[in-house]
Amino acid sequence: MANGSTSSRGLAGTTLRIDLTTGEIKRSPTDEKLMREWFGGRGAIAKILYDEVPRDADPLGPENLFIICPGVMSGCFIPAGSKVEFGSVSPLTNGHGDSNMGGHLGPALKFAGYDMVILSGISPRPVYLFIDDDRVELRDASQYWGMGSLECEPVMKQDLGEDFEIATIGPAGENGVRFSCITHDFGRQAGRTGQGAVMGSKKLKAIAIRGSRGIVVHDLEKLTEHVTAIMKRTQTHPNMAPWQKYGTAFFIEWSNTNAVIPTRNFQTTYYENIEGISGEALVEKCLISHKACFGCWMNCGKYTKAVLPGKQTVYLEGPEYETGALCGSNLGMTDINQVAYLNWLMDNAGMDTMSGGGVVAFAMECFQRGLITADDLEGHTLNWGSVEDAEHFIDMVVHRRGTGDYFAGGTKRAAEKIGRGSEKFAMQVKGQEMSGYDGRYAPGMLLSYMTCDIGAHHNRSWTITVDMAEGRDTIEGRAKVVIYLQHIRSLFDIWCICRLFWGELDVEPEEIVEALKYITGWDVDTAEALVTSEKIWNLVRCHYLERNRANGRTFDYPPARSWEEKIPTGPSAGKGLTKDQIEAMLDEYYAGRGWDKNGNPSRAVLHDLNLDFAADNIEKIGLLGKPLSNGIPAVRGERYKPKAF
Amino acid sequence: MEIKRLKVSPGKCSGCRLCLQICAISHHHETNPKKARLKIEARFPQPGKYKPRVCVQCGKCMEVCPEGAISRRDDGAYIVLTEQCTNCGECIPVCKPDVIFQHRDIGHVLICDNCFKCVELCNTGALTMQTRLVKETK
Amino acid sequence: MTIFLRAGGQLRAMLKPDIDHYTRKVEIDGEKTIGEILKDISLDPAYVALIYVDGVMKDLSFRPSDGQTITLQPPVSGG
Repeated sequence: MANGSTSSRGLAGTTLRIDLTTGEIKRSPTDEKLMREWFGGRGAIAKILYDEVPRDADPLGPENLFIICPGVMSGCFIPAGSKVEFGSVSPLTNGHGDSNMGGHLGPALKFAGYDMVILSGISPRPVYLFIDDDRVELRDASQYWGMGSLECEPVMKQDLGEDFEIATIGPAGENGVRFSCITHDFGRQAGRTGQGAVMGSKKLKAIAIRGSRGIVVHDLEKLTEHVTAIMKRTQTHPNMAPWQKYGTAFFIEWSNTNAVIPTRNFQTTYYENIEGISGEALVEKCLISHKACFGCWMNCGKYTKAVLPGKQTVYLEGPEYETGALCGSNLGMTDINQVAYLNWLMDNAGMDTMSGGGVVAFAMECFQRGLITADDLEGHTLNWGSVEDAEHFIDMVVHRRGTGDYFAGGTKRAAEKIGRGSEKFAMQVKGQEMSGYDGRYAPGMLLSYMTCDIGAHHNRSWTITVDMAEGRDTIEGRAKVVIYLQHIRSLFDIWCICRLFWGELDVEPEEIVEALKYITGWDVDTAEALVTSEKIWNLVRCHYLERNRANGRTFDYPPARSWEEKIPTGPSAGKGLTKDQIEAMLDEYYAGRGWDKNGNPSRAVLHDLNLDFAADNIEKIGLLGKPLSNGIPAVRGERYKPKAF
Repeated sequence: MEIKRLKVSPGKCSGCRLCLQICAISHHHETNPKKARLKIEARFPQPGKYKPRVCVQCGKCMEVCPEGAISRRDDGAYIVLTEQCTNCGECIPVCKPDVIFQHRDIGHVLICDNCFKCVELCNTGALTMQTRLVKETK
Repeated sequence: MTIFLRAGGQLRAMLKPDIDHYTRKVEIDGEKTIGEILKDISLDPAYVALIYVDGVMKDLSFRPSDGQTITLQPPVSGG
């Protein structure tokens, strides 16, 4: 038996606590009760951050924790059991932050024998975390400090061995750029909520892991049979072949045709040069090979190279859909090689391509409107479609030179500095930049951004086809779908497996729960899983309120462009939402969650979710929701099936 | 006789390691890619490709084994006789594709036994089963 | 002539497969574009993100030939 120290199967057995200030490394048996109640991953992270990080702690200070948790399913024989969740209080949103990535790091941590690593403090010098089965060390990283993410990984592999899994931050993370990411496997990123900035603030340059143990599961025979059947069945699924060939990038054109693609900082939703940056262009012009995460038979990763005149040829993974939209149409780029080059620049600098694309687009619009000028840009321009301009500006942001420093805090902080109405087109919610869909004529999508627990992000809820099926001019009923999606989609981040095979290959949540039972031996069903997800959602909301100390509703508004400006061009020209509709969606959403009109959770719903301690805490600061006149809904959220079913 | 072996189609592998997982599960009842009998060489950042390395059933291991602990099955596969193997590792340097493994939990070397479980799960066509007729066996 | 349309995910229900879990057999008179065929079977092309024939991406103007299989891919449910 590899690890016999826990009775819950699927776990590796040991949790590490590392104080970076003193260098002390403590091992303890993994808290099985915590793992069972909160399901590991995002759930365990949410509970630990809530319990242990002081409410006034600076996200970039020593009191913030940085947690690495691959959950109970990662590393097991399960479709795409590749993910690892990172968590800390977000320097971008000042609330609970979590972000995950695929690749091989999470499984490697489990194979080394660890379920979780909790890092605190700030190291006096740059270090990297070295884990080789039982050997756990903080090693000097001065030779790697300053290196780009993508440049650092092969050097570390050369130094340590090819079979080490490496995650790094780049100069952006080192310099405290608040939307910095963590990079692994030459192009997999935990991009959102600034986890790379937290690593940088702790002087933690990288993580290197090699593990040779196995994971003991409850019933390997049944698990193998069950998972093999899912994989074989889906090998001939109609979506499989096109998915393997194009990855997520294929639907850039679809987003354009259906007028949701962000164009020039969300000024419009239709891009005239879409063909140049499409998934087809990516495969034709840039593709080298198809790349998969651990245990995934769908290989959506596209390993590519970008060739641009006058630039070094660069190798990268991507651009995927989000980068294609946010660094493509949103910056007015016309050629996929330009998008790929910017993707590489941001990856190597260690900044999230989604927030990064949003920040560059926001700065370009500021330049378009004369709110910043060449004087602010070291004599450079910042025009739509110019890679040269974008490259220089990104360098200013990464090194926080001059005006670049404003933007290193993300669009919200930059708009506060620039003023003059720029906040109206700073396309963010709670400080985090929006994903690659414009919500003005997709109301459910806008509501998804507004209410997302970690700031604007599509990962928790994506509703474009729901909006189309239910009517893009209507808002009624959308909140219930958003709530359901926020619960079910978060489950994948809790379990640390990929979500894409669920949506793309018709693998039912019940089939995944069945696998979870074979892995852990837990008595669990889909209903319990959804309630646990809701519980985590509410705890994260309370954490946000306790840190930011105002009614929840005040944080849930999108920028004014979302209601003040109608879409000017393309198939949705003239369409848009009113402020009243946005208010009505929020009302419907809060009622659907059992929160009051101020967007604060009521005691009834928190009690129902076993979160009385959180209710007590928000009551103390006057932010407990008022009792709802009709009581709370028995089930929050409504499982959505398209009308054709 | 008809012999079977694994065939690698270069350039198709996506590096998912499902082959490693199912190999370790089938042979060692454990999710642990480090107990697999094949490996994936990742060549990144350049040229940016994966190369599976698998047993080619050449029989060099059997030739050098000082204990006579490797024998050939009728279908052409070379099988480690686990009771006789001393884990001395003399077969490792002669293996051209470098796919003989040792693991500290296991008292013998690990060599592919042609079960082809990996082929069943390989969804890119990188690993397939090749059958061919040969006149005589060694 | 006869063509075969295949779809999974959200589109599967809209396609109403008849010969297996994902596939619908469609008889068409003469040459038609995929756009026209989808219109004939009342499938809103807005839900089709990718048309995939013999390993290659096509658009709504593609004219399939007899016996061909056309895969219709819905949009990614949130990249």
